Amino acid sequence: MSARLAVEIGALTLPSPVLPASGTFGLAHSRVFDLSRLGAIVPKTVTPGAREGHPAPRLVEAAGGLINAIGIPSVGVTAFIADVLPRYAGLGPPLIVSLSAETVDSFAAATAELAAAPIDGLELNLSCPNLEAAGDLFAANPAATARVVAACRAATALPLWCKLTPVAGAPSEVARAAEGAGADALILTNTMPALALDPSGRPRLANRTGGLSGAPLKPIVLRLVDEVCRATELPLIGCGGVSQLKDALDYFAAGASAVAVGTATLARPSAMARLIDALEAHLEAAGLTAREIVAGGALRAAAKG
Amino acid sequence: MSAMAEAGAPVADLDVEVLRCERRGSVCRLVLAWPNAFAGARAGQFALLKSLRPGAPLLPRPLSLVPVPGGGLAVVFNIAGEGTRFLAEAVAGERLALIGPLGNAFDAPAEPILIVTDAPHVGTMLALALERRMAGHTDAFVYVTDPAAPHPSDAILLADIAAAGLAPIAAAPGDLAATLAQEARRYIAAGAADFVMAAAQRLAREHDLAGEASLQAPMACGLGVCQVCIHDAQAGRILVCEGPIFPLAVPRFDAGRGHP
Repeated sequence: MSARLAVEIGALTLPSPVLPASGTFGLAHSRVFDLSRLGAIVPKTVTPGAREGHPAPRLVEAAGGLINAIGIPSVGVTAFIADVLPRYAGLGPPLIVSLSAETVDSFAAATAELAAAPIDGLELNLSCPNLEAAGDLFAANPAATARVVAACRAATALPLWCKLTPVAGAPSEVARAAEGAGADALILTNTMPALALDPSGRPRLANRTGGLSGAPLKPIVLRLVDEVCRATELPLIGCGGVSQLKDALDYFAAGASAVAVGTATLARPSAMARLIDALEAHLEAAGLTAREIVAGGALRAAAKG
Repeated sequence: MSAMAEAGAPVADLDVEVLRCERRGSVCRLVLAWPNAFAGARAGQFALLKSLRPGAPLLPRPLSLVPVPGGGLAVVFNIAGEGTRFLAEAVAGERLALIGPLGNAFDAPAEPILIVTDAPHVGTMLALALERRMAGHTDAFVYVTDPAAPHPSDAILLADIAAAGLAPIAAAPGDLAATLAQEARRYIAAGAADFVMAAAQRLAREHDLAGEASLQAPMACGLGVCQVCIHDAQAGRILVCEGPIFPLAVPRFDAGRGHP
């Protein structure tokens, strides 16, 4: 792995600025490419208790992207630590565990349990429903965001990366709330709530609605990165419609320090490896490092503010 | 064993050249410049294929690997939607995205077996029948077709199967139980609509027969990661891509589903 690709996300050095979006990556990708090339290892999201997930159909193609309602099937955090996590040990890049929960207390309890495991950081999926607020998304609300992050911060010293939603009414306030409560980085963003209908007008997903991802999301998330990077000092990870070199460079220019790839990996499992190859070639041709590209984007973003 | 070795055999993800694309009615047969990774592919295994033309659907489609008598591999499929329509319009020299080989192979015994299928599931079962015929086995091949509402591919597929020397037995849904009972062997390999699969399971239970079920479902990653391709099992759910060949008793089928 070329040192040219390394970037920092808070206290963690990532071997490259390309990492998996949670839910779209697993150890099985080692059958396709060398996982040590990734910026981080992000297994599928874990929840405090076991969940079966939604019935089928769970995924449809729509608007040039995908709408999914997988429902976060999970073995639960205790079984995850015992049975799943050991298989991800020693792969090289930082191991970031994605955590989703439905209450502040369950977020904190699961964080405390994971904090004792050999991991390098936590992704807090704040785009999930908050059962203490009538199912509103945590990250739709700055106060709810702050409560979750503060509770998790109290439970661990590990880096906390907060995954936000594209539908927050005041994304900069949510970002500042996360920063104030102790977050180390922000992932912008999770999927966009969406609906797909069949020709007879019936929902195509068993769960009725799902989350839109892929190319249609990119301009929306790019604008959010552009806005949020002026509201917070936290490093940002752009996540939405990243598949080609141009997508990554756009996110870096807008102020992101890394990009997460999801939908493109479902379309082609080697998508991240191809993107890393393209980025490495681009940097080499330009005589630049990823740190310099990322710093340039951050400087431009600061100048905009 | 290392974590990576534990994950399974290597999977190729390449752009490959189309050597031949033969389309008749709604049936398509594609022969590709298969990479070395596919050299040992067996019946039951599949590949994900995607057109690289502008406007093609985002996700690749899972298609069964079918041996070609005389050597080589093909995929044989019904044109069932946008993804397969784009693939069927491929021309020689065009490049397609290919991911595989994926999935497990059948594990049928050397003795004659009963193979059961229908048009939408024919690829995998045709692969098994051809692989076994090339190995010198003589099996019963039951093809379920509804004379009142035949599948657009039925006539072509039955002719192709007969031309390959497989002597298909066409069974109407109303005669299915009797046909299966008459052709029963010690082992059943079935891939068909739910009501056919339920009938195959019933036959296996009643006569204490072993067997395998070939499942198919809309799929995304093909690697067991995304968990899109779920199928009901007798206990909980299974991921089709982690088969797609399972012991016949494992999946749960709706005996009323797909029955005309």
